Order: sequence, then C-alpha cells, then structure tokens
Amino acid sequence: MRSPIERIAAFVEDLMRNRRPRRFIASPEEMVVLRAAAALSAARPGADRPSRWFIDQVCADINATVRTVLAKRRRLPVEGRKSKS
Amino acid sequence: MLEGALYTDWETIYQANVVKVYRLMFSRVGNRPDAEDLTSEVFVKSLPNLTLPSTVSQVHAYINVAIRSVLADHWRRHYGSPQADVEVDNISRPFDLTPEADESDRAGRILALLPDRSRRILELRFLRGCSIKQAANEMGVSPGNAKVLQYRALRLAAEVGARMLS
Repeated sequence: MRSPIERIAAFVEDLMRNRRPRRFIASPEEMVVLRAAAALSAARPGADRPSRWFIDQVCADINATVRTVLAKRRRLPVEGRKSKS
Repeated sequence: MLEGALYTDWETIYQANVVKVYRLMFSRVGNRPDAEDLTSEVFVKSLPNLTLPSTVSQVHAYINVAIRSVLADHWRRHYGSPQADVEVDNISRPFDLTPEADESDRAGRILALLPDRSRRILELRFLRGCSIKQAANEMGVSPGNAKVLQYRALRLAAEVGARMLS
C-alpha cells in the first residue's frame, strides 16, 4: 500500500496533467491536503475556463432531459385517469 | 440578471450560470474531467425539476443547493469523506469577468504566507508546471524529498487558507 505522501504526489501529478485524479480512501488529513492541491491547481492562469464544446454538449444533454421530463409530466394525468376508470 | 428578475426558460438559466458553476467546481476539484462531470450533474439534475418562471434569487438558491449536494457526493464516493457539508461560494455573488482572478489572487496570498521552501515547491509545481523531478532538481533535493516537501507544504497551505477564511 502506498504512503499518504505517494498518494498525494500521484494526485497532484494527475491535476498537473489535467487528468481525472485516481481515487482512494483518504484520511481526514489527506482530504485537507488534496483539497488544497485542487485549489492551487485552479489558480493556474486560464485553467478554469470551460471549453465551448463542453458548454454546448451539456446544453444538448439538458435539452434532451428536459424534453423527457416534460413528456412524462404530460403523460401522468392521462395515466392517472386511465387507472381510475 | 438582477436578483428580482424572472427566469422563464431553462436555457437562459443555463447560459447565464454555466461558466460560474464550472469555475466553482474547478476551484474545488482542480481538474477538467471532474469539473465537467460535476457541472453537468448540477444542471442535468436540477434544471428539469425547476418550476418556471422563477426569480433569479430562487434559481441561484436552487443551484447552490445542487452544487453542495453534488460536491459532497463527489468527495464521499471517490475519497470516502464523511463530511456532508461543503463550503461553497454563493453563485449569486458578483461575478468577476477576469476568469482566473479570484483563485490566483487567493492562492498568491496563501503562498506569500508560507515558509520559503514550502512556497518554492508549490510555486514550482503549480505555477510553473514543473514535474516532481524538475522541482527536485531546482531545489537540490531528491524526488522523494520533493514529494515530502510538497505534502507538508500543501498541509501548511490548507492551514493558512483556513485561517484566512475564519
């Protein structure tokens, strides 16, 4: 098993490469340290700008989800009436 | 939009808030893949259940609750954190149009308060983008020692950051 120092070093390395960091069960002290690392990573100039592709993609996902939810809501009263009859 | 104004459709809500939510998520997780997933989760989960029209302040409150919930779940699922409450800036506070200004300013103030070697290792790693080997070379230590310095420096930075917030 790796030490906390190695785990945090690997976590920081992932942040620096903009990779999804590896997951592990963190001790309370490690939680504090990895949150500090995440905050410092966000301080890199320009690092926290979302891509246009991402913004458009999520917009499309929400569009689909909203349509599904609204369609379900429209069907619900009809199904309710059917079940009563 | 002004606090008392009304949102009448979800797309306007999304376009007005997505960058703020993404930046907030990035400031908490520090990497693009997680920030994208968590931002998406906030909107996909919360927007379809909003009753429209709603005031701007109502929508912001709704999104803030979703952010807290999504972040707490992230730390719990992936790192076993039992901490349910997550400190999050309010999304309705005035938005700084200089994207990285807030975080880099705060980071700069924290780094300035650290001992020399702690500040140096964090500057090399986070601000100059040095690998652990490059940082070790710059500081005249072994890569193993650089990892120890980095760990201790992050712990100190967390303490300084907590004191600045309190």
